[in-house]
Amino acid sequence: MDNTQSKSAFSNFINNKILPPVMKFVNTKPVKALQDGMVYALPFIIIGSVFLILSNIPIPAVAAAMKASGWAAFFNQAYTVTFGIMALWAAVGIAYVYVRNEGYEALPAGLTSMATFLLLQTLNIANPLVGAMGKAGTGITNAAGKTVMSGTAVAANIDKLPHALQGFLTSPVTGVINITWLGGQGMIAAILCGILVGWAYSAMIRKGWKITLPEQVPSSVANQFTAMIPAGVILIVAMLIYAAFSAFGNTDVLQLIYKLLQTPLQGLSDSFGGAVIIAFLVPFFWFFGVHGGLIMGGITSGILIPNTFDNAALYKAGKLTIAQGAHVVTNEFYNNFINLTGSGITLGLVVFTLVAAHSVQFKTIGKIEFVPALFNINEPFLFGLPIVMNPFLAIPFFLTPVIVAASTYLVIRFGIVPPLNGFAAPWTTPAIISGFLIGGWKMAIWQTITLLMSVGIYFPFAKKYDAILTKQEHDKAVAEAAAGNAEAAK
Amino acid sequence: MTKKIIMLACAGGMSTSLLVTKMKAAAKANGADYDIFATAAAEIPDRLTGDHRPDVLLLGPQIRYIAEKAQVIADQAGIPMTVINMHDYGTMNGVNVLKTAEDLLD
Repeated sequence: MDNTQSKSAFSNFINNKILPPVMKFVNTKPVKALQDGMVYALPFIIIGSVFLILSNIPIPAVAAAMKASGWAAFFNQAYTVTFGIMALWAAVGIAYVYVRNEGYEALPAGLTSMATFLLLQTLNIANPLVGAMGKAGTGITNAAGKTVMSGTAVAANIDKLPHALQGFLTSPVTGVINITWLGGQGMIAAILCGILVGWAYSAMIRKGWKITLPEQVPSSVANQFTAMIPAGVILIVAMLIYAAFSAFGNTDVLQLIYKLLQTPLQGLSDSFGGAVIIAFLVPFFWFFGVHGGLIMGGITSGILIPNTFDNAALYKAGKLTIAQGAHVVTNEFYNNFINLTGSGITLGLVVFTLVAAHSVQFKTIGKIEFVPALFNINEPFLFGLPIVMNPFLAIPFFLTPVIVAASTYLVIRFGIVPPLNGFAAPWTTPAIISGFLIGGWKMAIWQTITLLMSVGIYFPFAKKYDAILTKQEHDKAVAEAAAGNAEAAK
Repeated sequence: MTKKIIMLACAGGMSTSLLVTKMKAAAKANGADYDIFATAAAEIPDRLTGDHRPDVLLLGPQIRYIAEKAQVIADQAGIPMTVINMHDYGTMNGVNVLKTAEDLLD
C-alpha cells in the first residue's frame, strides 16, 4: 500500500514539477521553430546521402569504375547541393516556420534568413596552395591519390618566385560562396540565424514596421513591399555585425560560433555520457506519455546532424575511422539504434507476444503492433499495453535503450564495427536494413545483436506482467460467471 | 450535405494513420460517411485555415503537450478539438475514437 502511494507521489512530482517546465521549453517559439524547421532540411539530407553512397560504393572495384567513368563526380555534385548545404536549408526552414507560426506570410522571412546567413560569412576560400605548402602541408596529389610533390617541395618552389607573384598565388579565392559553412560546420550558426531572423521579422511586422500602400494598389504589388523594411533592417544589422568581426577580429561570426559553441556541443553529444543520457531521456518522457522521441530528436538533431555530416565527409574522402576524427554518436545512432523498432526498443515485447504471451491483452496489442514495429512505430505498445506509467515494464523500457546505446558506443569506439558512414536512413527504415545502409554488413549484424538484447531484457518482465494480466482476466471472467450464476439463481 | 471531415494529428502522422484505417472501417460498419485523415502536428495551423478544413480535430495522446496551443488555434478556427483517450489510441479502437469525434460534431 505504502509502495503504491510513494509511486504515485513520485509520478505526481514528475508530472507537476518536472514535466511542465520541460514542456514549456519544448513549446517555446524558438524550439518549435527549430524542430519543425529542420524538417525542411531532411528530404535534402536523405536524397543527398543516397548520392553520397552512389559516389562512394563500399566495394573498391565498383568505386574505382565509378570514378573512372566520371559518374562519381556527377553524384558528388548532387550530394554537394543537397546534403552538402544543409545549414542553408535549416536557416531558411527555421525562420520560415517561426514566422509562419506567428501567422504572417513566411517565405520572405525564410529568404531574409538565407541572405543574413550568407551575409555573416566571409565570402572567400583560402587558396588551396596555402594548404599544400610547408612541412604540415598536404603537398600535391594526383588523381589516384598519390603524392607527387611534398609540401616542403611545393613551398621551396613557390619561394623561388618573385614576391608579388607569391602573394598573388596564395591570396584567397574570391567571388565564391564557401560551402564549408553551408554544411555541417555552419549548422549551429544557421539555427541561431533562423531563430533570430524569425523572431526579429515577426516582431517588426507585429509592430507594423512595413510600407503600407493605398488600397487602390493591387495586393500582389503591395505584398512586395511588406517584407522590405523588416528584411532591410535585419540585413543592415547583419552587415554591421559582419563588418565589426571583419574589422576588429579578422574573422566572422560563423567561425566564432563554430569554435565556441558547435565544437563543444558536438563533443558533448558524441561521448559515452552523451549517448547514455539521450538514450535515457527518450523513454523517460515516454513513460509519462509524451513523445520522447520527438522531444529529444528536436533538441539533439541540431547537433547530431552535423556529426552525421562530418562522418559523411570522412566517408567521401575514404578516411572514415575514429582515429581520423569520425563521430560515434550521429543522428543515425539516435534514429536507428536508440529508437530502433520504436522508442524503448520494444522488439523484445513483440517477440514475447508471438511466442509466449497468454493474456488476451498482450496478444491483442501484439497483433496490432507487429507491422508498425517493422517501421519503428510502437504507439500501440506505449498506450495500449500500456508502457506509459506502467511500473511492471518500466525497468526494461528504461534499461534497453541505455544498454544498447552504451554497448553500441563501445563497439564503434573500439573499432569492432566501423563508424556510421553518414548515410541518413529515414527513421522509419526497418531494422537490419537500416543497419546495413548506415554502416555496412557489420553494422547490420550489430543491429541484430541489439535486437536480441531487447528480447533478453524484456522477456522476464513481460512474462511477469503477462501473468498478472492473465490472472486479472481470469478473475474477471470468474467474477462475471459468478454474477451470472447469482442472476440465474434469483 | 457535404461529408464531415475528421482530422487526426500526431507527431509525424505515421502511427495515427493506423488508427484512421480502423476508424474508416468503424464508420463503414455504421453506414456513416466521413473524410478521415491523419497529419503531422506541425501542419495543424495550416490545415485549420486551409481549403480542406476539418470539422473536428483529434490529437494523439503523445502530443498532448501541445494541446493548449492547438486549442487556441482550434478555437479561433471554430473547430472542436480533443485529445484521444490513451487506451483507445493504444488498442487502435476505431469504434471508440470515431464516437469521440461524433460526440464533438454534435
